[in-house]
Formats: sequence, C-alpha cells, structure tokens
Amino acid sequence: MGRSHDLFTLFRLARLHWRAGFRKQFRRMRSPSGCLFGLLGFLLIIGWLGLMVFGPGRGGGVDWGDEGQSEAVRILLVQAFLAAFGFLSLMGAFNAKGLYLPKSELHALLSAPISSADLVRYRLLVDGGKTALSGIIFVALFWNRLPSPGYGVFGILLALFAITILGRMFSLALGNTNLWIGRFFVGRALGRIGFSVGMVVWAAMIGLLVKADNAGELFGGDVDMRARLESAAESPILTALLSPLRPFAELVVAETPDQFLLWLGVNVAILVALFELCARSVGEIREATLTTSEALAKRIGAMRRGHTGLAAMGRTERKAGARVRRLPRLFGHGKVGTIAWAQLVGISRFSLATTLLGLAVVGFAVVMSLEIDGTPKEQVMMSSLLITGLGTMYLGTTMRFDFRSSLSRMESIKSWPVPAGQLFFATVLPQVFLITALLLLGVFTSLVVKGVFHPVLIQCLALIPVVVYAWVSLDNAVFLIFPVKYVPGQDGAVHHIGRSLLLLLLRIILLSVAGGLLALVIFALYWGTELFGLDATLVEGVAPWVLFLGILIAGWVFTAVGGAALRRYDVSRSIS
Amino acid sequence: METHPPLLSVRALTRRFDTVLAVDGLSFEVGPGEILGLVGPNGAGKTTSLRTIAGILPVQSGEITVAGRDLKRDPLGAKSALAWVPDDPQPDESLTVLEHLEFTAGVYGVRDWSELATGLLERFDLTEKVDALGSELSRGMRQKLAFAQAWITAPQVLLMDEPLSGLDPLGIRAAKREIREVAANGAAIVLSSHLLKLIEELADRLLIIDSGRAVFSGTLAEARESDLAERGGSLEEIFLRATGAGDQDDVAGG
Repeated sequence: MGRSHDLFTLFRLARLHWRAGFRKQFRRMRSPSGCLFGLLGFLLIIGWLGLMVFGPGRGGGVDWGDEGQSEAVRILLVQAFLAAFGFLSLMGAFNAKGLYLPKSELHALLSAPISSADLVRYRLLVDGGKTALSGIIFVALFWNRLPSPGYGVFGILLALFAITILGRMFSLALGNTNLWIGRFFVGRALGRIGFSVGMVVWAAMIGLLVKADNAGELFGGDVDMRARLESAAESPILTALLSPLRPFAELVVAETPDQFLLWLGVNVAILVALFELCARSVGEIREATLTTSEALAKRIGAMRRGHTGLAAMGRTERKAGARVRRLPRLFGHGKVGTIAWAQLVGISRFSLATTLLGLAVVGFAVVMSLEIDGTPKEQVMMSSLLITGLGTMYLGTTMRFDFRSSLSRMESIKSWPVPAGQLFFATVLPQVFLITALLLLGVFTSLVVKGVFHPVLIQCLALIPVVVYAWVSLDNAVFLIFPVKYVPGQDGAVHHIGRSLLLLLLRIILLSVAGGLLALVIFALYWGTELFGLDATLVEGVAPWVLFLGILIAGWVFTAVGGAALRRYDVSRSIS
Repeated sequence: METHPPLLSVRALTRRFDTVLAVDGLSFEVGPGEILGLVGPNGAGKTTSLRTIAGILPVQSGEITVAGRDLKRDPLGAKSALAWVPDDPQPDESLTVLEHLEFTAGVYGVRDWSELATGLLERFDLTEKVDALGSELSRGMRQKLAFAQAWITAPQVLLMDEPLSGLDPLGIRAAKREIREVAANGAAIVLSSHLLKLIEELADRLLIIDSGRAVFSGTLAEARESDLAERGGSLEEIFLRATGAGDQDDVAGG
C-alpha cells in the first residue's frame, strides 16, 4: 500500500468518526428526554458563548484589548496566554506518553501496514479538528479584546494547533524516553517524583498568593497594572523567552490586511514545518503507544464506571506483591454491615490520593475559618458552618465511593437479596463516615488552633453527620434517577451539559423543599414561644435539635427516594 | 415415581423495551435436580429472561416463583433462594477473592462461611489467588470466582448465562463436574449457552426460544423424535430447524 493510500484511508477513517459522532448526537435526540437534554445543553453553550461575546462583563478580568495599551503589551499578553496554554499542554503530555489511539483503533491501526509517521499525521489531524472545536471557546473569550477579531481568530486557532502539535511532539519524546528511563527507575519512582514536584509547586504558589495578599498586592491594593505590564514588555529576558510564540501573537493582534497576510504566511509555514517534523522525527512508537493507549482506555473505563480524578487514575493499580490489609467489620456483620464494609475496603485500598486531596481541601477551609472573629459561640458556630458547608459540597462531589462508582456492577448489586432502601443506605454509609471524619478533624483543628470552645460545639458536631448524609444521599438518589456514564472529551457532551443542568435544578428543588419545611418548623417554634409566652432560651436550646431531626428526616426521605430509584434502575438500558 | 413441585416456575413472562418485545409469554418449569438448557439465537431474549428471573429487571408481566416464593410479592425471599452467574462477571475491584466469598456469605446470610470458602477455593482452583484483588483477575478467574460466589449460597435455583466463557479446558471440566454436582444435590439449574455440545452434555431438558417465544420445550430425546430432527439428529440441526435458521442455511447453501 502506498503512502498516499495510507493517508487517504486514515483520513477516511477520521471522517467516518466525525460523521459517527454527529450521528450519535442526533440519535440521542430521538427520545423526549434526549431532546430536552440536548436542547438545554445547546442553549446553555450558546448562551455562555454569547455572554462572552456580547455580555456586559465580556468574561471579566483584565481588558487585554484596552485601547490605551501599547502593541508590545498586547503581544506580551497574548504570548503569556499562549505560554500558559502551552505549559498546560506539555504537562498534559505526561498523562499520555507516546501516541494515544482510541481503544477501537488501537490494535487495528497498529497491526495495519501503516507507517508510524502516517499514524502520527492522522492523530495530529484529528487533534487539529478537536482543537478547532475547543478553539471556539477561546475565540469567544477574546472576541471583544482583539483589535481585528476577523484576523485574530485565525491567529488563535493556528496558535492552538501549533501548541497541540508541540504537546504531541513532547508526549512522543516522553514515550520513548520513558521506556528508556524505565530501565533505571523501577516501579512508580517517576510518578512519585512528579507528584512531589507538583506538590512543591502548588505549595509555592499558595505561599506566593498569601504573601501577595498580606502585602495588599492581590486584593484591594493600589497597584498600577499597566505600568507593570509596560515594564514587563520591555524586559529582554521575557521577550527572549516568549519569542517562539511571537509570530502567533503578531497574527492574533494583526490590524491591517498586510500584517494579517504576512503573519498568516509565516504561521502556516511554521505549522507545516512543525507538523512534518513531528511526523518524521518519531522513532519506534508502537510499544509506547500500546502502553499509553491501554492505560488511557483503562482510565476512561474507570471514569465511565463513575470514578473521577485521581481515583480514576490509580483505581486499579497496586504494587506487585503488595500485601492486602484486612479491614475490620466496622459496621457489623449483617447485610447492611457487609455491604458497607466492602465499600469501606474499596475506599481504603484505592482512594488514598483522593482522601489526601479531600484533607487538603478541609485544610484550606480550616485556614479560612481562622479569619472568623466574634464571641466564642459565634466562632464555634461559624467555623463549623464554614468547614462543614465547604467540605460537604466539595467532598460530596469528588469522593464518589458510592453508586456513582458502581455502575459496572449494578447487575450483580440488583441480584442481592437486600431491600433497596437498606442497600442504598449501606452503600453511601462509608462515604458519609469518611467525609464526616475529615470534617470533624477540620472543626477540631480550627478550634484548637484558635483556642476557643463553647458548649454549642456539641450541637454543631451532632449536625455534621446528618448534614453529610442528607447531601450524599440526595446526590445518589438524583444520580440513580438519571444515571449517566459520561467521560469528559467523549461523546455526548451537549447532552451531558443539559442533563447536568436539570439534575442541578432537581437537587436545588429537593433541597429547597427540605430546607423550606425545616425553616417553617423552626419559625413555628419561635412563633409559638411568643404566643404562649415560653422561655426563649428553651426554644434556642430546642431549635438545633429540631434542625437535627429535620435534616435526619430529609436524609431518610432521600434514602427512600434512592431506594425507589434503585428498584426501577434498568441495567439493560444504555446510559452513556 | 415421586414427583416434586418445581423449584422454578415461569408463567407467561413478557418483557418489553419501548417498542421491542424481548420476551413474549414465556412459560417453563424446572424441578429439583433438573438442568434446563436454554438456547436461542442472539437477541432471542435469553439474557433478558434470566435477568428478570434473577430479580435484576422488574417483572412487567407474568409470574415467577422461586422455591415457592413469588418474585413480585416476596423478592427478597425469592432472591435468597437463587444464585446468578452472569455471562461477564464484574467482581468488585477492591476486594480480594476470599473477601468476595465473605461478602457474598454476608449478603446471603450464610453462617460458617470460612470452611465452605476454603473448600470452594480448592474446587475452583482459586487457592493461589486468594489474596488477588478483583481488578487483578483474568477473565477465566473472574468466571471461577462467580461460580464460587454462587456456590457458597447453596442456591435452590441456579441461573447461568454462558458459564464456560473464558475458562481453560481444565476449568471447563471442573465447571461441568460442579454443575452436575449441584444438580445432584437437588438444585434446579437453568443453563443458557451457545455451546450446544455443553447443553447436550449437561441438560436434562431443552428450551429453545426465538424472538422471545418458546419454539421447543422438552427432552433431547423428544426433540430427536419430533419434526425438528430426523431420527438421531444433532442438537445443532434441531436448533437450526427450530429457529428457522436451518431453512435460511439451506437456501444460502443452495
């Protein structure tokens, strides 16, 4: 098979994939719910883009296209943006060393008589198509800030494509290097080094932010940004560092047809050169491609099963020969206890990174709570509220050790002889247990550091588990009503956005109903006090426990809803 | 000869997915110690029927009784008497092989599970994998674990969907032996498979379904005596005739 024939076949494959993608989108519109989700998602995206282009705030932030700015500053800002995007792209390459091929293509293309260079060309063009789509967001973001938006659009799209190619070159180089380095670094040493470096960079960034905040440079300080930018644009070091991005920046800020045509020509030449350099400079990529594609397919699979972030990455990895530690049956030996124990085992074995991240978030909430002033009672109440509120919302979303991570096992789960309500309760219990433990730790740490105590703490601590349970059970109940297996970057993004919007609304409605009823009860209690001349302190003492009971009842109702949703969950339906 | 009431009774089972009728008025019974071979072409409704009997899919229409318990009225009682081996078992990624057995025993209320588990691990050649996590098991090992999980509950009714998938020859031999033993101990077994040889070897009775409907029900000998086969015809021939695929084959073959 000749080279042109190879490429032609691959282009055809790419075209078929694109067509299939659109076809799937339209097929999703066949059912009424699909139509509603699609329409909502579409409207939300169009509304968001429209707001960026025509909205009053125009996306907020620094007005990069300020007429008062010099051209040097504009170019600097564009270069800085491209550098940041490029940095992210290069960092992303660490996650996909070598060439990534989707599962459906991996073995077919690697075993086909196609050269490595053509495989790279094919993937670059597919990436280019995806970049053009995501580039629409950047175009909308910058539309009002470009001197000539019509010219600038080309600059942005070409620059993004160039960065994508550079990212791909880097990942290919890493793929080969990684195999070579792998002989010296056994196990996951590289990952640990990367993680440590990342943590140091993260800590340094937080430190710098805190320092800038203390110096009044971040919020509310009187800083002349324009003067700083002008000075930065004249810096020879910065100019030299960012110079490779200058041609793209020049096209983005082009104002006249002459400038546009000149820099368009330069950009296209650079792109073609980069494209061919990337395709021709590859060595033996098959081994790295196989490794990285299988790892990514595994990760996508984990995400489809509901795992997210770090949990999805490390979900099924275990050091060879590592001893498995046994966990005690913390929740008893009955059916509920057994299911909860199995869930807890899963958390303890595969979710250390997610738990540590959760701890970091609680730590952040603790630091914020240190700023709270007032009487000891107010401090205890407000600190508990802040840590519980922030922690519950964040941890409840990121720690998905419940039904959201059990989609692939629903067939087995539904065959168990356990009442649906109990099954629901047992499944969410360990997650509630873990989040509650983290929040209690956070509240105690905050109060110990501040050195304050008040008896109201007992009521606050009693509320934490019921609040967490209500939140997690609501999330799971809503998830079981509209289960979804969606992976970012995969098919069905528009529908997913629409569905997420509806689910958010459903959550808000359910929470509002529960909160409203509770508020009514407490209001009635206070009203009754005045009416019957009861002691106000008595009511103050009773109100938190009414709140406790109310949230508990809400949790019970969400459990019943979740149980009913579990009963009607249909394992035979596609929910992607 | 003493007759026992059936352990599994399915009457007029109908299941619809939107406009598609997946199972259409299916009825059959399986007695104690009996193995029913469920066969049919792809999309005939075998897995849907088994999933409904296992309580995984709700019963839309029809009646299912497992060990005397109505699946609709007493789902937990029915499920407690039943074990389900799916065609592609998905173990919990984070539990070890032994913990899977402990878990199943806990959920089905099996006491003194530890000794039972040791025996099952040996019988299904899983002893060396006792500490392996679910995510580390090969396809065949997952299948063996699914067997062991089903066996530990000592089910009265056992449903198996393509039970030999992924097993090596040694595993296949062990699985066949175990299935026969469970039946000999009085369990009613429904075995769905495309491996007609397996059905021929293990099943006492045959249920051929096509487009959700039963097209033949009876013993293999009865099938051989029927119009579906010439005297002494193979199960493959019976199956092809019963499902109409044989006619197409004849036409295709000229």
